[in-house]
Amino acid sequence: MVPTDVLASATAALLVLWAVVAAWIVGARVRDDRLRRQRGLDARRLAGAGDPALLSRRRLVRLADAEPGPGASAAARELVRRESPRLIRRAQRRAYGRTHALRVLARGESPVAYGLLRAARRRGSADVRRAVVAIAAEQQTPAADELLLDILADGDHPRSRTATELAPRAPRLVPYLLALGAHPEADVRYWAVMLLREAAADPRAKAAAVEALTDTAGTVRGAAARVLGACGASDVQPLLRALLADEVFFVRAHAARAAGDIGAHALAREIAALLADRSWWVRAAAKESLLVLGAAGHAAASSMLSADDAFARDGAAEVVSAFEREPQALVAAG
Amino acid sequence: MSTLRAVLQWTVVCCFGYVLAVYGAYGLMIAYSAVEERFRRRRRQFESFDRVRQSMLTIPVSIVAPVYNEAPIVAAATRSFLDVDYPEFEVIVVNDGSTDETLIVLQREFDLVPIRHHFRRRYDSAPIRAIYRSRLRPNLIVVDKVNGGKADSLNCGLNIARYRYVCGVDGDTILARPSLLNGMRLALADPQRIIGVTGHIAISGAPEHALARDGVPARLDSRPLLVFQHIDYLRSFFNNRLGWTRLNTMLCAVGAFMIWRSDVLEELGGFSTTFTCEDIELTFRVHERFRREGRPYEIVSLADTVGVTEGPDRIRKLVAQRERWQRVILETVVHYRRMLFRRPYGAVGFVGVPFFVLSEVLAPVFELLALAAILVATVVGAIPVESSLLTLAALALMNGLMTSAAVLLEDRTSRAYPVRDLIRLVAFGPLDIFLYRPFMFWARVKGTWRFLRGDQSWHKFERNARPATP
Repeated sequence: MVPTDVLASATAALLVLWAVVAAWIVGARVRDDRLRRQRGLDARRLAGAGDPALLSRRRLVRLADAEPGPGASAAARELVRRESPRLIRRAQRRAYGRTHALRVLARGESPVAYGLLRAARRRGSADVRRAVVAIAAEQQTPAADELLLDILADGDHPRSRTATELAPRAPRLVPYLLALGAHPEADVRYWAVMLLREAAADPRAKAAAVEALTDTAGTVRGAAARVLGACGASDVQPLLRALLADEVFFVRAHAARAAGDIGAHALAREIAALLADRSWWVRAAAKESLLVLGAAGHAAASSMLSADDAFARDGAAEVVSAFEREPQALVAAG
Repeated sequence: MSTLRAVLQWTVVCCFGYVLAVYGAYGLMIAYSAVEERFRRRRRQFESFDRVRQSMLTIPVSIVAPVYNEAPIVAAATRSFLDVDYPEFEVIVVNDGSTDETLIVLQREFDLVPIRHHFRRRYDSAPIRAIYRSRLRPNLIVVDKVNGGKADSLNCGLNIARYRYVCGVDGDTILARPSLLNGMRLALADPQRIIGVTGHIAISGAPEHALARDGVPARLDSRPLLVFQHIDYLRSFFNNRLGWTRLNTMLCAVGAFMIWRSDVLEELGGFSTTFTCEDIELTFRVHERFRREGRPYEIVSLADTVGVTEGPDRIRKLVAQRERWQRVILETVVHYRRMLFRRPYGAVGFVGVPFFVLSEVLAPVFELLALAAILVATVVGAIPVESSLLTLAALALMNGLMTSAAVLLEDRTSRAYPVRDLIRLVAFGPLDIFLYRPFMFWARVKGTWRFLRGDQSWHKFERNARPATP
């Protein structure tokens, strides 16, 4: 068995270790809280008329690499002014730590920032690319737009995430998105059309969506239907009518929803016919659409109450009972 | 006498060996958890939650909450589900034939009206009595069905769920406002590969009062029994689940918060009603299927606290809850024992399941053995009293270190708790072996015994008493 004195020494060592770890946890937290408070103060000061030249390098680094804002940008500009060569050296390293230098250079509007971001994207890991996308997404500059569009086209970062970053700036990117709409890869065309939905007010977006209705890929046709729904123009009804009979089920579902979105009363009967569709998703979309169409939707659903298909009868009954429950929907949308 | 001494000494040596193996496994898992936490923190520095929140491209989610006799908390819980910060989601509350006022409370609080609703019946479930929609919150659906158990209610909710991702939550859980966004942020990073997400749940005696104004958990319950449970959960999530994520051997996406891709659930036939509890079994089933078929997948745990759930405030209730958990673990491990040390199951078969067997299945056996051996050995003088006490102190401090590791990982992620609570958590660490573990030991022994007898009852603990509202 283990001698008592050895056990006593081991227990004493564990006690010391536990006390040190406990003190470290609490101490680190207290220090972090203090630094966070100071960072907030510095950010407010620099966002006002504070002179960044008065802050120490450490405080500037903490601020420039923290949450975006005017304070962070001012600190980054000051750091770029003070120590650009050092930041560039750090941004060219291979380790992940370079991403922080890249962020400071981009926020500090360094002229070499985008060249370094592109180099990091080419040579870096998936995590570095993720950081590059986030850094570019913070900047509202043409160079940042271009970088994000290249990343979307090349697909070396999940396209859904890149598209999420591009969505708020889509209205000013319409010409580029139109070009991507002719990309040989269907996935790129899909995302280009999806982003055009964010620029639905632009007539070029509608024209591109109309063109995409004949795309070979169902995903692109579905996206086009969603764009047309967002455009809200009644002259697209004939186009949607064709999509309601598309061979791909999710295109039919998107077309049904789009018809509801634009208030296509003339299509109510075709939509009601989809209550008998073989795909559950299409039937569900048809129900939603009929509810949005108000009186026209009610009339079309009522006509399906005696349909041969049990799904169609059930769906129609559901729509009709929803209108009975909330009759104001008939007036509001009808 | 010398034979007795030899037997006792060897028993103590065996138990000591077991303790070393368990602490070694825990230590290894903490190391993996620390790597994963660092990796997550690094990623988070370059993520914009605002853009994901505002994006129309974010995939919608169906939140499914089975409730059974949750009248004191169901309104607050449902409100927390409806208040999550996410662009598009629906909430489906399934009342599993409650015998209290659960449905009445829901009707009163959310102005429910019965609707006719047709849906795809993909999973079997007990008959539905009525389906309601809220006039106040159009994305809330309440299903009233005949009692069939939690898995049955989840299956019923899945039938009605419309979206591609389903988030299962417990009816006594208050979700933090950013919880769904945090979870889906992970899932959306690689939707092809990440099929399941879970997250840390905090414990409180009254979870509806445990959220800060910005909707994140921020207050530690003052009662020691609840603090110990909180520590237990912290250790389970931050010391184990993060490490399991690193190794892709997540063995339990907890029922209180589990996001699954609905096509995966459909492929697997939904939640199983033949086990006492559904969450751990489903996670094992996913591993079994995907590993066997060699398909790429990940089930991950968030390093964030996603909500607060109600912990029992009485020892009797706590033991009842934990003995059920022990039964559930045994049922699942025994059922999926074919995964143990089999090559097709990779890290799950060689690390995950053995870790579970070592730390959960064998624990009551060795705990019982160690307790009896040390007691008898001390009484007959085979081990000096000082040695016994020192061993106990060393174990307490080891436990304290494990707790400190979990607290550290949690605090580095969220900085949620005030320093005062942090000190309490760290200080309570070494005490749990004396004030909390004995009850866990009793619950495990009881659970093992009931498992051996084939008991599959739920033994739901009654809700904690709440002060009357003025």
